[in-house]
Amino acid sequence: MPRRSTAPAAPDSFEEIDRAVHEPARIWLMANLMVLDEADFTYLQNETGMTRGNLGSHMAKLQTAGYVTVEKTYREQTPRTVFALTDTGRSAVIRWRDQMAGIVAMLSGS
Amino acid sequence: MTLMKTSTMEQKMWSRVFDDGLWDLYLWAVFFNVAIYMLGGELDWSVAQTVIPFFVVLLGAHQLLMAAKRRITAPRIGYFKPHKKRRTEIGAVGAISVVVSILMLATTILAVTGTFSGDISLTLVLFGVLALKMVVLFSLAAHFLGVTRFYVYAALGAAGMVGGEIAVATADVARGWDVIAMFGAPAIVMLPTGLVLLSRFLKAYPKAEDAGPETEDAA
Repeated sequence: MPRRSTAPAAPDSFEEIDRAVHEPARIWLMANLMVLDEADFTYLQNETGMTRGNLGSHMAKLQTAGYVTVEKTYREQTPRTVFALTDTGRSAVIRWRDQMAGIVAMLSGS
Repeated sequence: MTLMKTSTMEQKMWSRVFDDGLWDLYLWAVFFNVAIYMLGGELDWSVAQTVIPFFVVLLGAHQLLMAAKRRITAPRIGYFKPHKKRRTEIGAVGAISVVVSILMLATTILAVTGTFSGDISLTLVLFGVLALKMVVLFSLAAHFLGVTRFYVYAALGAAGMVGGEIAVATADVARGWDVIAMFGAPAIVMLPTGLVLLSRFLKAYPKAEDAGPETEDAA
């Protein structure tokens, strides 16, 4: 994950926090995809321990937000759904991380 | 969900590829094969008893590894494509392997053309370079991929080689047994390690189908 170049800045209001990212399961999924080029459904399910339905639902929300791409393919007669983080998705994760760091810095008085 | 640094997460993802123990079993087959080949030489076995099985096992083990990866590992842990940086690192390990192989080839040419001469046989020179390659590659793989047991294999191979050389120099042990020790020592550990890991892997990861319907609501 790219390092921050400037001091973390807290958001002016909570409305600025991206709700598509600001959810434990989704940020965990995006963090997993941050360190990979792409991964399939089975892989992410193993990594996160989510149920199929839950994982599918979170991924649908991320796809709607334009943060992940979904590609459905077949490999040896078995369906495979491959996810990848978009550039917008990567930026969203970095922005969320900086916002959280800013909030922590603000709350700790630094 | 366990929180961790992204670098740790990424290394954990990659090391999972080796959690199935299949690489350990493959390496065991190759190492044991080399040790048997050398043993055959020491026991004066015929070419049909040494060289042909050597290449059959070498090629067969690789095919089996690839098939097992496709049929056992991939459906269980799923598919992922490493980040470009990681692929570059893996490429670097491959490049080092190629360099060492070229070194082996150069040594062979020098020996065949008579430029290289000495008391040590060509076979031992080649296996010496192979030992170097083994230690370097295992250590690099352990470092980059986070598979720490590869350090043990590298150490066992080196210890086997050194122990074998000491035995040849100090005791009435024929040359060739040092190579057997070099490949045999890690092979002894690779087989049980691979079997235990494979057994654990099969229990931990039941075979999965791909994506199901999105039935549950995301919070």
